[in-house]
Amino acid sequence: MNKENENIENKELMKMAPTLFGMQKVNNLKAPKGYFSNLADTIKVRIDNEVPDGYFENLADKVIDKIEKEETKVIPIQKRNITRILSIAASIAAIFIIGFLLNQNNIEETIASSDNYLENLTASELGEAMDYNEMEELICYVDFEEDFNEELYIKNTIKDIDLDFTSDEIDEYLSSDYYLDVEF
Amino acid sequence: MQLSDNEIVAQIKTGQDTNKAFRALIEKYQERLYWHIRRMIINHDDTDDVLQNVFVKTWKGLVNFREDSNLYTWLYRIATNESITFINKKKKENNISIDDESYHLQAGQADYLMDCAEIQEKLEKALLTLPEKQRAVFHMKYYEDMKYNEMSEVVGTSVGALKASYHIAVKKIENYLIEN
Repeated sequence: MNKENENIENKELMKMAPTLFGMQKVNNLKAPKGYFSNLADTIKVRIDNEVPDGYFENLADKVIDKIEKEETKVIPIQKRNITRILSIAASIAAIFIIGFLLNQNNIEETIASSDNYLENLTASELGEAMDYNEMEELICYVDFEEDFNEELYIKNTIKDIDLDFTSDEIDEYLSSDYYLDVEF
Repeated sequence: MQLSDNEIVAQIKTGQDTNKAFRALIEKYQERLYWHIRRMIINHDDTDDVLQNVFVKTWKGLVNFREDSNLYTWLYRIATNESITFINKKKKENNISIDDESYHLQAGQADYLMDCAEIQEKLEKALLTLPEKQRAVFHMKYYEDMKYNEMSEVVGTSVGALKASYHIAVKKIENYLIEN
């Protein structure tokens, strides 16, 4: 405050409140000894230990996030095991499925071939190729048409064809379990 | 060498010697703010709590402190608001006015009015009759010789209103001193 302003204000105070103006500006209050020399340290400690703003507002979310992260840290091992098991299982399943499909193709081809084979065999040739039970068994798996006429079928002239497989192979196939669970 | 306000703020904001700069800020303003609060609250322990709160809030708020503002008046604003908030809280908690002399006796103020001459004691009592904001205005003007435009920044009131407030406070105190 410059001197001129101070004088003006003092004059105003003297006019307004002469008793107050006449009093000394004395501080009657006392601060404890050494208070100010330690205050900065005290405040530093307090700030260092202060709970950050919004700490409790976000605490629940942080805890949940941490738990989820902890879980994902543990789960990967399990997941890896599960993944490994699943991949092995999938591989096995794939092998079975491929095998099944190949077998199904084989069965279909076999049946088709058998069909053709039977169609093209003469009765005597058929008799030579397999015994009665075998023939009956094979016929069971032939996809007969609804209007299949067995008599006509037998009477059909069966021509010789180039076989893709031998009768033994047919026997082997028929004696196997491949076709047992297969629905045609 | 004492750092200027701008240097203190710049160092804290840039993270350069933050602790050192903040310590410089505390040491520069601790006594002025202490007495500003103490004259409002009277009790030393309460003043200590409030003053620490003021510096903690200052620390938190410095990041967002606009450099075109005045650090000195900003600190006083925080101190004044904290003091008034504390007084109002205390009034609600104890159902006792902090202006009441019984509050200071309850608070065990051995140093309160210690070594007071009779006239000074009367002045202290007269000050306690003022509303909190008016008391703050009186302290800033009478004891600290603060300019009205600085006080305006501290209490968020126009210079005209502050002049009126100070005038009324002075009149009340004068009347109290005469009557007592």
